[in-house]
Amino acid sequence: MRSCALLVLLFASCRGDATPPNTPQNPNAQQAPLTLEHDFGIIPHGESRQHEFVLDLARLGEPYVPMRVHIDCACGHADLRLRKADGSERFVDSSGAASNRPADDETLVLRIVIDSATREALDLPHTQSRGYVLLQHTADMTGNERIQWPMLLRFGIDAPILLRPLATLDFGRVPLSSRGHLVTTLRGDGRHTNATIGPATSSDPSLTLELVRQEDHWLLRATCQPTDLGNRRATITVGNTIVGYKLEIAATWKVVPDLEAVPMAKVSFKAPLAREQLAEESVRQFVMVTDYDVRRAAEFAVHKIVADDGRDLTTHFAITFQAMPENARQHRMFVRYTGGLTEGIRGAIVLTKDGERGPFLPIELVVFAAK
Amino acid sequence: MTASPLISFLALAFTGSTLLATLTQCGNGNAQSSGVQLVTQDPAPADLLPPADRIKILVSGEMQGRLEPCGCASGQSGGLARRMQHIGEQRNYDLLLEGGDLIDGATPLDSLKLMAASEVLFLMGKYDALGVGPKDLLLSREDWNLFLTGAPVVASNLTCTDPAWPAKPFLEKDVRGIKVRVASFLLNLPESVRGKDSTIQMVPTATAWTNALAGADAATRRIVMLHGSDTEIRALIPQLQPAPDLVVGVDPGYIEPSPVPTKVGGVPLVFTGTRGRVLLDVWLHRDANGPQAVCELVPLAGSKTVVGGGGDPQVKDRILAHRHEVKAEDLLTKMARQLPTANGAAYVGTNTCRTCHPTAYEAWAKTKHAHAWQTLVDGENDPKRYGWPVTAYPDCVSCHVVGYREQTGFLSFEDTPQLANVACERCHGAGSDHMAAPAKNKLGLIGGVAPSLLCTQCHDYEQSPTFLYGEKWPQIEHSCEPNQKTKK
Repeated sequence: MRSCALLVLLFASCRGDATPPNTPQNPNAQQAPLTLEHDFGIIPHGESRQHEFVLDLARLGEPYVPMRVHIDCACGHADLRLRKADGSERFVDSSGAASNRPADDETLVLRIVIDSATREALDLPHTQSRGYVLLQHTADMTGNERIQWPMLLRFGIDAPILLRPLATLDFGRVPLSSRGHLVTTLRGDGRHTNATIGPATSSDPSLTLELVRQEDHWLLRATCQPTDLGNRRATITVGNTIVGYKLEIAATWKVVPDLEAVPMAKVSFKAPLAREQLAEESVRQFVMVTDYDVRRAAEFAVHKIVADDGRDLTTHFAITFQAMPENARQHRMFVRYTGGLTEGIRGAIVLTKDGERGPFLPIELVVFAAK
Repeated sequence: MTASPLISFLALAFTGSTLLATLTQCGNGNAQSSGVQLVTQDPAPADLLPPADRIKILVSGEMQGRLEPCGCASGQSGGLARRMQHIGEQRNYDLLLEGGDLIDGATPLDSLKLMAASEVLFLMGKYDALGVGPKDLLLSREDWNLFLTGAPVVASNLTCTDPAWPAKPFLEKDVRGIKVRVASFLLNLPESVRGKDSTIQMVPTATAWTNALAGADAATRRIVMLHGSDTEIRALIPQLQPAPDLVVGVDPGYIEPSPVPTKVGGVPLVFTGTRGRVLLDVWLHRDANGPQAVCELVPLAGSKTVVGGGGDPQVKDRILAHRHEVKAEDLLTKMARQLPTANGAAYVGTNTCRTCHPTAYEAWAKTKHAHAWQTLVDGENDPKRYGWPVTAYPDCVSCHVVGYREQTGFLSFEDTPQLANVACERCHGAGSDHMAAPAKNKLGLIGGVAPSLLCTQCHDYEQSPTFLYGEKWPQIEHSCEPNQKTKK
């Protein structure tokens, strides 16, 4: 029977019933029919819209406890709350406990917020998105017979400034020796052709901006100067004359060293220490190294091979490089043991690009004695 | 599967290094950026400052093999690249927890996915703990051990006779002088690893919890990941004594985490959500009333204008390499025709159906389903959309052809062009028996499932977030021939 109820609810959601009438408790809250359906209309980018359904559990015919709510769209958020006439609220805690059924003086409210600011500043045609409220029968102790009360939401987003080709600036890798550059254009859309755009400011001083007026649009040039290594994010705020509109553009990048080993700067292997390794024994002893310094051709040189205790290990290992056919800046660095050690060692292979001037890339070297 | 050089490399790289590195290289101890230390000209009242013992935790789980959004729909959330970009930007997590079920099955594709995911999480990233979910145990023990050796795997209530079993009964990390103990419980073993002869056995809960807390003092923060249904998880929490500070529920039915932690017997309970679409920030501390948790959702939104949707560039490269590995190993062919068809018959192809059902065929030929394979080809050829061999990736192909993975089903476009596209037998089932005796072997829908549920095998909440059966059916509507009865 509960499965039937689920199906009834499921298909009910696909019909275009009228929006339910208001209730006295809250002029924005609406008494929902079994179909939970709402059209938010076209939302100006940057703004959020909220809608509330009042869920009358008695209409399900059997005693169900609300648990949680899911909506498909990425920019939406929904929650279930139990509200008293005086406006005080408590949240449904998703436990399925009977305490989550509304008391006599409470109403169950499904609150949905669509926040367009979480999306890129792009138009979204009027579209629909699904979701459901999950409920559990009070007699269901296992949670295996829950039902979904579906909902259908419609909304679109209107971004008054057109961003082409990029609405988000992703610089990708920015090596220390370089800078990241990206350009995008901005112009008012068909309803804001007279909009003036600027100035543009960045939340991160290492991201500098230049906004240049062209004939019928603005050119935004963004340059990121690498500072400390790692992932970075900045928000670009672009002023404009469109009343009430705040344009924000996300920018991300990752600062990487000029020389880098992936997936990690380490080579470890087992070798019979009493003899030199054969070439075929060392085919799996490699690490990928990349030279991001585009000012010069990719090049790698071994600066030194040293043990943790400072011993020079240069004579015990042969290092060779093999360029990757699909990426000339990336090489496989192979390590082959050439003999002469009496016990396993820990140390480092230090690569360089320009002799003593570096930059240097230490790669941990661990060799275990094969039995 | 033959271990490739990269696999061997990974295993070696992990060995004896990652766990120590993970547990000691917190790298997150920046008190200022973690919000522990507030710099103000006028010192704020003590009760307005964040608790000094507050620990910031990033929680996720049930990735189910979603290394990144499939790309069918624009604007899909989640993915490892965006996750690692977020972690790298924040720089102040004290603990990175992944619940488990990194993969969704036991195919060669799942093996390669596990290899890529473990490399991203534990080599490129510094995850502190990985729980063990039921789906993880479906994979061959050899592959699982190989890819996770040295990774911070925790399984408190499981023992394994395999000496290479990588899981520990607990993990411990020092967070600015506070010891944090992490445990993980699997509440139900998958059927394939049950039984007295199985190498994996479950330890009674009380014993396992005692073992997980061995040597831990009262000040140690106790975090446990529980894999099961939310009902089972809530039932178990009161049995854990001393009580945990935080329970992380890993329930595949819990699609998205909630920003509101619930309390069970005074213990904060949060859920990981699934597929890594939305992560959960948890701030955990103790006060006079016991452990307290505050949560915030971390949506990993994509971009429609950035190729690949953004994210950590190195992780994107690693996942791209995974896509090419799948093609290089020809997993599409290797995974084809491994399962029986749902009705036991053989696939015959659309042109055979057409001979008796020309009207339905003509209607179908005008739909997007009839060009589903070309959609993949176009996507593959568009560097702004994919830029990797989509037509060789089993997850993608399975929704664009007929009978992939089933006997007599799609093998490759070259070998079985008649089974490319989403054609008749994708919904109605293999047709050989029906062709031999139409009146006796009538075809309905595969398994007799409701139409919308059949559609949502591919058009699910992620792949087709705007899909509504009632709206879409008219676009593919077709009926029996005028002289044939419509099946009710």
